[in-house]
Amino acid sequence: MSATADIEKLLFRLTLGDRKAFSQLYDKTSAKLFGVCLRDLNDRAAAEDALQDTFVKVWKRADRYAANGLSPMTWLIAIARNTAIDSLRRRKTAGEDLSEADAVPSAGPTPEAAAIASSEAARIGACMDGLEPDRRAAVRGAYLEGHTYADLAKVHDVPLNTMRTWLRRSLEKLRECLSK
Amino acid sequence: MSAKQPDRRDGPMRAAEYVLHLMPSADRKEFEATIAWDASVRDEVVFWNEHFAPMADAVSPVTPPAPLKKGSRLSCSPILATLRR
Repeated sequence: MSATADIEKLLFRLTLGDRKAFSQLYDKTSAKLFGVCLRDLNDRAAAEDALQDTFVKVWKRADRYAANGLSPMTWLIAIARNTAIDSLRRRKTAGEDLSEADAVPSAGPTPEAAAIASSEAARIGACMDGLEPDRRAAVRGAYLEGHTYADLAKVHDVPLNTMRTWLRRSLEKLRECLSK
Repeated sequence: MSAKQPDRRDGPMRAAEYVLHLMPSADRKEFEATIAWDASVRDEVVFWNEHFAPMADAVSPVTPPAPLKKGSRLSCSPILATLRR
């Protein structure tokens, strides 16, 4: 059985309240998801909290997985990222009202879109290579480190509006490249 | 319907900004409401999530400390699974 089908099956068993499946899913995916949380938060204790929150959300929301159109690992990564980034933003701007972290709301995409998305997932590397190095670093900084426009402008030492333009043009280029 | 409806041409870029967490939290909430009823926007969110995921997948795995698993398990009561149905 493929790793994807395996994780999908475990997610289904979670919807039945199967704690053994939870334990197996944890063993299979926690190191990867902890790596993602650490990358975002750059703080071990905060990443541990985020990982624990991630698995509690996965347990509670496994029944929404089937409808969201994402492949299982993408869904788990999205929950881990959202949890870690929400924690990062909370720490940065205490008191700000943040939306509840959710991978994607539960209603599904059209089957065509989901099929296209998963079959072409591996193309991101080639398309990212087509961007200027500093633009590529900015996109990666947003995705992997949870940087805001303001953080990115500071890191790359450019005005905020310039950074918005960089991101917008880079995303347009990526969209075009990924859709080929 | 309302002036708040996003420009359709902006759909893919807004979805990318959403997936990258580049929107202010108020916009993020509003966008989530749009995702709930607009299948084309939802497809865009799936598109970006799936295409970006390999970058996260390439991050080196780090084994979390063992007690964390127990903590996660304790937070996951089987009663929750029953209640949500």
